[in-house]
Amino acid sequence: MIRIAAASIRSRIVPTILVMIALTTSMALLLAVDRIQDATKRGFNQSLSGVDLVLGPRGSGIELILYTVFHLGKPTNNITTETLKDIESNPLIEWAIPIALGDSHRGFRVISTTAKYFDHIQFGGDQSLTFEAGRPFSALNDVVIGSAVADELDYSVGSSIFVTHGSEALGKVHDDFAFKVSGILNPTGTPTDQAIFVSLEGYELIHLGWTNGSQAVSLKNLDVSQIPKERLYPKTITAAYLGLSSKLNLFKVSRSINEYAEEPVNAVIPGVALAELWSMLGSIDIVFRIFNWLIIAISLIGMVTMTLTGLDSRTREMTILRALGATPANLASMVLIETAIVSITAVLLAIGLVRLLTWGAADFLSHWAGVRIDLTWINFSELSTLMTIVLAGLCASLIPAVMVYRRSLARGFSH
Amino acid sequence: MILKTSALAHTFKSGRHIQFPDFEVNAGEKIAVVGASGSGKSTLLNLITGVLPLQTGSIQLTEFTYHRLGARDLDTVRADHIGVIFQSLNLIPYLTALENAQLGLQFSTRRRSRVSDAQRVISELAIQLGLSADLLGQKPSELSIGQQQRVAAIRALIGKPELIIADEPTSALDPHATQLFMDQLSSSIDPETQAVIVVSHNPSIIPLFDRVISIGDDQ
Amino acid sequence: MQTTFAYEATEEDFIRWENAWDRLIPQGTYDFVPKDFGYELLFNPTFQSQLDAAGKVIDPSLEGTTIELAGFMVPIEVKGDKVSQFLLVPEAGQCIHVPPPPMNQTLLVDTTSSPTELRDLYQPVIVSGRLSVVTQSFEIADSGYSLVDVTVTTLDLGEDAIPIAPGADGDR
Repeated sequence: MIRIAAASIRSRIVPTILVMIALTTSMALLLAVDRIQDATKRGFNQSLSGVDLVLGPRGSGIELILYTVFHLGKPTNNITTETLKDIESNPLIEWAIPIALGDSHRGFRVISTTAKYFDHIQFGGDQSLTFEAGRPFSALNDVVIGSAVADELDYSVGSSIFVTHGSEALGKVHDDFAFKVSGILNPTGTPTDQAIFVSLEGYELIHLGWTNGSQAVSLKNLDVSQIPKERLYPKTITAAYLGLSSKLNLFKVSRSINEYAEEPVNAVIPGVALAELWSMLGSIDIVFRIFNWLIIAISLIGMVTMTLTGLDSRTREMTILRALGATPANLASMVLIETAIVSITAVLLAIGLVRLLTWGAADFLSHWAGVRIDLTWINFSELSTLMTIVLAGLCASLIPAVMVYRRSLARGFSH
Repeated sequence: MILKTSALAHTFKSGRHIQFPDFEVNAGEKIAVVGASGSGKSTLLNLITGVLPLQTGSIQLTEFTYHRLGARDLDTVRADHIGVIFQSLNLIPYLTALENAQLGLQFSTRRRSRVSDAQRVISELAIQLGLSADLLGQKPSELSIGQQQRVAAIRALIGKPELIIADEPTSALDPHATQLFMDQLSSSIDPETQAVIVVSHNPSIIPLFDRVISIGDDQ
Repeated sequence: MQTTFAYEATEEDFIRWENAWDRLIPQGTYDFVPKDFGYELLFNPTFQSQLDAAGKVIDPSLEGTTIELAGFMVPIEVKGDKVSQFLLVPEAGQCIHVPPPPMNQTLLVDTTSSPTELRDLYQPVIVSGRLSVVTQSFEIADSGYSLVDVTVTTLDLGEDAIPIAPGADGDR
C-alpha cells in the first residue's frame, strides 16, 4: 500500500513539493525561534554571576544591565566616583568594582575598571575568569583582552594597541599612547570574550587632553610616569558592580542606594532586570508565536486542499481499486498514508532545516552578544510538537479520506 | 457452480424497474451478456460484483450467498473470486504495467497465497495473452489500447479467481483484434475452475461464446 | 533597516576624512599648547578654559567650500523614517563620557531638500556638501558649521578596511 501511495504522490510531485515547503519551513521556523530564544535567554542569564547589585545613574534598570554586561546599547549618563566612595562605605557592601565605558578598539568595547574585576566577576553560575596567558593589568599601559578579541585580531601577550575614542571602529584614535596586552582571558561564551579591559587610570590618562571634546594635546612627549596615580583617578564612571557580604541584605542596600540624596543613582539587581526584559519580550513573543502557528495551520490546510482537489481526478483510480476488492477503508487509508508520508517527510526536513538555522544563528549570536547556542538535532519536547502537527495533519486529512470512503461506496460500473 | 442468480431485480430511485433472467455459470463456460444501451447491463454487473446492494432475488458466487453477507465480506469475496476488466481506463496511470497487474493480488490473501512468484506468473500470462514481456515495465500511457486491455486481463486472471467479468473489453478494438483478444482470453482461463462473463453490444463476437444471456426489453 | 548602498572605505579615504575634520579647525588654534609640558598643565583650569575657547573657533574662510567627511549622525528632525536635519560628529557614543565634540568638530547638516534614511546612531556615514558658517544652539551640542547641498552615503567599515597605525599591532 505504501508503495502505491508513494507512486501516487510522485505523480503529483509539484503541488506536493510546494505544500511540503510550506509545512517544512513553518515548522522549522517555530522550532528554530524557540531554540534561539531559549539559548539566548540562558546565555544572557549566565553571562554575569557573583554580582549582587549594579550601581548606575538613575534610569532604566534593563538598559543599565544591557550596556554594562552585554555591551548592548550605550550609557546615557555617568555617576561620580565620589558617590561611589560614599555608597561603598556601607558595611553591608563587601566589594565594589567601578567600570567606565565609552571607547572601543576595532569595534570591540573597551571597559576601564580595576584589577579586582578579574577576582570578583564570574559567569555561568560560579565560574571565575581565568587567564589563558599573561596576567591582569598592573602598569598604566596594560590591557587585558577577551579570547574572541585575541582570536579575531590575532593578538598575543605583548601586542600593542591604540584605543579609539568613541564606541565604534570609526573615530579619533588615541594614537599618542600605546597600550600593551598584558593578559588574555580564557573563553567564557559570554560578552567578556569580546571585551578589552583597561585600568581606570590608563583610561583617564588618554582623555586628559580632551577637555573640550577633541584631542587638543598629544601625550607623546609627556613623561607619564611622573603623574601621581591619584591624579589619574576618574571623577566620573559609568557604573559599578557591587558584592554584598550577605545576600539577605539585598533589598536593604538597594533601597538605601535608590534613596541616596546626593546624586540620582539606581541599584539594579541583574537577575531582576533580565527577568523584566524577558517578560517584556514575552508579550511580543506571544504575538509572533500565534502568527507562526497560523502559518502552520495554513500549510496543513494547503495540504488538505491539495488532497481534496486531487480526489476528483482520482475517482477512476478509486473505481478500479474498488473493483479489485479494496474496501472503502482501504481507499481512505490510502489517502491517510499519503498525508502521513508528506507530513513525516516535512518533519524530517524541518529537523534538518532547524539545525541549519540554529547553526547560522549561533555564529551571529556569539558575535553580537557573546552568547553560545546549544546545537542538538532534536529534543523530546520539540519532537512532540512536531508529532502533534503531524497528527493534526492526519486528522485534517480525514476529511478527504471520509469523502473517498463515501464516494467509493457508490462506485460501480456505468455506461 | 460458479455463479447462480435467481429472481434478480432492481428498482432505481427514479422508479425504473429492471427484471433480470435467472442464469447459472459453471466452470469452463464462456457467457456473453448482450443488450441494448441502457438495458441494465451495468446494473447487472454491479449486482454480480457486489458493488450494488441486493434489493430482491439472490446471487450465489461459489459458496457465498450475497444477501447474507455484509459489505465488508462482499469486498473480500470480490477480491478473492472475481477479476474485472473494464471497457476502458483499466490501469492506474502512475504505476507500471507490471505493478498494475500485481494489483490483482493486492486485496486478496487467497489469491496471493496461490502465487509464489508473481513476476513469473505475470510473464507467463503475458505470453498467453500475446503481450510482449518487455512492455511490462512501461507506464499505461506508453501502451496501445489493446496492450492495456491485456494488462487488465492479466490483473483479472492472476491468482485464478473463479469468475472473470469483462465489460465491453473490445469496444475500442477492430474486429480482427477483437477476435484475437477474445481467443487469447478464453484460452487463458482454467476450464476446471474459472469462467468468463463478457458483456457486449457487439453481435459479431457471439459465436465465440457457449451461451448468450439477453438483457432488456427483448428478453 | 539599511537598503541603501554602502561605500567600502579604503585606507586613503580614512586619511582624507581625518584631514577634513582637521581642516575645520583654523590653523594655529592650538598653537598655545606648548611642545613640552609637565602633566600639571593638563589639570590647570586656565589651560582647560583655553582649550574650551579653542573648541569654539570657526574658520569663516571655509564658507562655500565643499568638503567630505565620515562621521556619525545625530538626528534632529525626523519625519517618518527620513531625516531632514542632523548633526554630524566624529565619534559615536556622544555626550556620556568626556564632553561632547567642540563646536568646530560638529556640523549641522541640512537634508530638507532630499531627506536621508534614518540610520542607526552607530552607523558611520559619509557626508559631502557645501560648508556654511552659522551659529545655532541645540540641546545636545553647539554647532558652528553647517552643510548644504548634501549627499549622504552609508559607510561600510569592512573587516580589513580599518588601517593599522604604525607602531601598533592593531587599530587605526
